[in-house]
Amino acid sequence: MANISLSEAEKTFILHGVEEDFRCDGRSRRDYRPMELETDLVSNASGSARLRLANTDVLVGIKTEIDKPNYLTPDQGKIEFFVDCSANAAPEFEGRGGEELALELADTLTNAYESPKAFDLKTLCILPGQQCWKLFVDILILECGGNLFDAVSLAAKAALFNTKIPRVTAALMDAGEAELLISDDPYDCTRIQIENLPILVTVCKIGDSCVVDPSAEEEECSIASAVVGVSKRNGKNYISNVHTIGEGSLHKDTMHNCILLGLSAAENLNNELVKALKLEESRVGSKHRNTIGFLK
Amino acid sequence: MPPPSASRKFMYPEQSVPYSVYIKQEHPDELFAKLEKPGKLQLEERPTFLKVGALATVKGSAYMEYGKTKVMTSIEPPRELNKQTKKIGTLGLVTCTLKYAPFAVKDPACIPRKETSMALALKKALEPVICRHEFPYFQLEIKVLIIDDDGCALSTAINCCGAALVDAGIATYDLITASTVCKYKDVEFVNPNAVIEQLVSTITNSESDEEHGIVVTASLAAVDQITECFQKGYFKPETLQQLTDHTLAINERILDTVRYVLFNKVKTLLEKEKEAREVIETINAITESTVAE
Repeated sequence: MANISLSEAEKTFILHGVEEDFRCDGRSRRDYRPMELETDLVSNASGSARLRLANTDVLVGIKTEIDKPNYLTPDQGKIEFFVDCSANAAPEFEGRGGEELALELADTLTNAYESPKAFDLKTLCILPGQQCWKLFVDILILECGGNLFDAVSLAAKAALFNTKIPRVTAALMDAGEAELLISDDPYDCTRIQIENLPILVTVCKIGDSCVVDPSAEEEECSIASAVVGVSKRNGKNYISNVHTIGEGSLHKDTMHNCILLGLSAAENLNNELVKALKLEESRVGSKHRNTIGFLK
Repeated sequence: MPPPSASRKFMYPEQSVPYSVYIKQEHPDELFAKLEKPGKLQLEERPTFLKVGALATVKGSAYMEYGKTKVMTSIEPPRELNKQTKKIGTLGLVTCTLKYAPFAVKDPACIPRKETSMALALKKALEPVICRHEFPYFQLEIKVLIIDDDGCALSTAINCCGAALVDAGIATYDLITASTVCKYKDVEFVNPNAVIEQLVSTITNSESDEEHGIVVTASLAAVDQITECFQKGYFKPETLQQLTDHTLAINERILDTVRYVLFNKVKTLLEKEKEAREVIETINAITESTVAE
């Protein structure tokens, strides 16, 4: 991703560290780097979150708009992911440089959210065949320090948790067209259920072992990784999306081990995320607070 | 916000809807009940037609029919990269472009999204198989055209590209093959057609415990590697492993077909060469004898 050049000696050092289960920053193969999560910091968005995972910085804003449902699925709302790789994150993102990575990120999220069991679009429907909510999930990558997939999916989930959809109080039928009345109380709103929302875990194969949460340097040492989308439902973990990234290939058994490692990592991560979000909400509540700038 | 390129590609007026919307829609459950279900799980490929060197104007090409799915691939010879390009490394660059014919699918609105995501997946599947170190500072362009999509479009495109790469004389580590398997309401569909692929993404009872989804795997049989595994839907980990194993079994069957076609192609080429050599030899013999006189 972010192109950093490493010498052969540095690569060998990282490789040996991973083999010993003691990585450069002191983590084991199954550990994540520290994370910082803030929600509700963009005033013009319905929901927002900013996640900092060591050096990776992601800001997600969610806009809610009213749209006409697709004629094939009249009882479903819409969700759209858009990723922007800012040129601030890495010089090679300048111009159209980040387009491919951005497309891949957005596509992976769309695939992971596609199953009705992972994210039920029916909850976004207002009037079947007439009006529905459309969520625009705009993801801005501010800094690129490895493991973008995980960071982006966590931030998206946090932002969706934070999203407040205004309550529709009445619909007037006027010559067959529906006209909606939206509650004028800004605190009268519905929330999105996030229990089943998938998160992505990148499992990176370095040497003969697999690690989670690779740093940018570790990503350089790996030729193949698997991205696993994990969604939790009724206490069980399901896979909602898998795909391989990187220019190399994996053995069948390695692939399976990667998926299992991804599942166990995702379970812990998911629990921690939900806990953190609930904690933040209970501390801040719905009180109006002064947002403190995140660019310290 | 659609990507700016989407509206340009999609030429139909935005307001029009296909007339099929007004035909009474079948409930997915009814549709499923009507479907022909495989009695026994048979890990076989569909009837396949493969022609390598289908186009005369490009270096390598292949045309493949996988059941009703029709795919055409063309490969240009590696082209030197502009010196200013930042992406230059010691490995050659591979770019894939994938286009859908506007009439290839029932609902053309989904084409822009399919094109971009399948091109990405195709690139990831093919990169590991090409000996990229053989053409540093060069770019290899692979173009795919989906003429008809009756399911398994991505896996057919990968198979077709594998054959076209050999036809183009690009060095590869192995022959690449790919296949698709679906699962819906506890029934496993091998090589699903377009109706099943569409059905799999819908689910009627979102509260139940059932699984649904689609798996595409591209593999290299000789070195026992998976170059691309793509899954979406909702699976338990065990199911995913089981389905991946099934795709790998089908991949080996497809490999036989591809190998047979390539073998025949080489054989006919060698025969032609031999004939040409014989003709030259007879001409030489005649001219020599006349000169001697």
